[in-house]
Amino acid sequence: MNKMSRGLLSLATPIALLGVWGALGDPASPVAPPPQTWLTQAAVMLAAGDLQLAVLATLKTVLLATLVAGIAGTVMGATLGARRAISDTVAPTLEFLRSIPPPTIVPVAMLLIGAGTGLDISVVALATVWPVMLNVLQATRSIHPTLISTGHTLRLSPWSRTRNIYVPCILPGVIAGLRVAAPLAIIVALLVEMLATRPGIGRLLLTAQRDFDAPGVFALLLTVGLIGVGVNGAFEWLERSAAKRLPNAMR
Amino acid sequence: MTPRLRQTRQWLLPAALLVAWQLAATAQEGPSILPSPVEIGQTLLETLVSGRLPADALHTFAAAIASWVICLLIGIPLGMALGSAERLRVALSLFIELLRPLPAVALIPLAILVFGFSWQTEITVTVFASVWPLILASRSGIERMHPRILEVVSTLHLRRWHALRCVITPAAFRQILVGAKLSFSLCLVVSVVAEMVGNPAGLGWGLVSAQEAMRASETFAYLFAIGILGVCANCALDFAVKHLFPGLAQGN
Repeated sequence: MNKMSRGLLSLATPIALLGVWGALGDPASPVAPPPQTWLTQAAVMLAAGDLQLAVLATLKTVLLATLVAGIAGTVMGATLGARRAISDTVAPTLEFLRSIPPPTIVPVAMLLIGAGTGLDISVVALATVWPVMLNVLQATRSIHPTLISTGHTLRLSPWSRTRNIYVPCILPGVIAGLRVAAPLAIIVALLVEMLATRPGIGRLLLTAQRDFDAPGVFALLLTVGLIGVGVNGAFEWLERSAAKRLPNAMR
Repeated sequence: MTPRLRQTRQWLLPAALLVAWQLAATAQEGPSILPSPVEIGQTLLETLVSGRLPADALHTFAAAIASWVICLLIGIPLGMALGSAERLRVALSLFIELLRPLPAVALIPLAILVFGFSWQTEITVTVFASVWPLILASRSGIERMHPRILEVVSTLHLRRWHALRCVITPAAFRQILVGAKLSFSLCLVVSVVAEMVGNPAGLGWGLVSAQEAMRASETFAYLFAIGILGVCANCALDFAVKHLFPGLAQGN
């Protein structure tokens, strides 16, 4: 099979499915409305302004929380990676904290922080900090000792060592961690919005379900899918462009 | 550092944290939002003795294991079919790439529309979220098989069923096992999440209802119970795999 027919075949299945659904589906169906009704419902929500606001709110939570998790995870991972004594001491504690499934901290955080503005970002950041930390920890530990001693031999200043050795070695770990963290951030953000009724797509989804608005639920699912594809694509692009710029020895 | 000293230091930190927590909780004035570890421990014991926590845990484990079995039944055949039939793989590739990244949480409202607040909702969402690692692992188990194995199959003129049972499945088994383990831990987490929003039962619901009733120590007790049970379940699975398939576990 050549590339062209492969592409056509892979496109054919979803299109055929949606086509059959669209042609045979009952627009008034309470559970499986055909695709065209999703789009009309999305247009209605867009016209009312709900959808844009929800998308912005969710994106804001996801991006800010990943930023916080990225910074905190990098600091924690680099510290633990550089100092064996510290990581040995805190390892079991961190291991236990990590084993608590991230979504389950949402109710506890609601209790402690209250369902205010700080809740979304802090909970999502708390859930997504682990993959970043672990990846940075790995990256820090695997810096080749020769690189570090070369820095000392050349009498590089601490700033220059950081810029030329530590940052390029750790950066791929940070980005790899963020790539794992991003989908998790979307999941936890939606869950916070559902449980704490914070503005966002999660809350809209539950509202649509409570109103038995099936086309709305599908339209929002489609939106969530698009956000997921967008966010994951952005981090993949980040990873690729970082890999291109780093010197070979550091990859 | 001697190993002995290292061990004491490892246990010193959690102990110190617990003591600090206890002091902070007792020092706070007015109505307490932060329960002390002693209170949490008492609540944990109470819920254990009253049978609520075990009943909730039983429900969650039953749902997770049922979902896992469904995942195994769907994921392994589908993944193996995708690995061996190129046409099928290409035809479904875009479809799978579109569905796979969809967060399971977003699917809960749809499942509620179809099944209501019920165990069907919980199991549907859990299966949807946890079947992907199995499909991918089974697919790559077939794809990464050495071509010589297939040549042997055709040289021996094995019948299709025979080849599948005696050659291909054992060859892909290690990969499938990795996927199955991953899928199991996902099943546990996702069923708790589904209970939090979509099915008022089990540990997830216990956690959320404790929080909604502002029973702080109970919320923490459920959180710790979920964490500990998750670790225990994964350890038990590792242990079972190691003893059922001793040859395979060494390579992992």
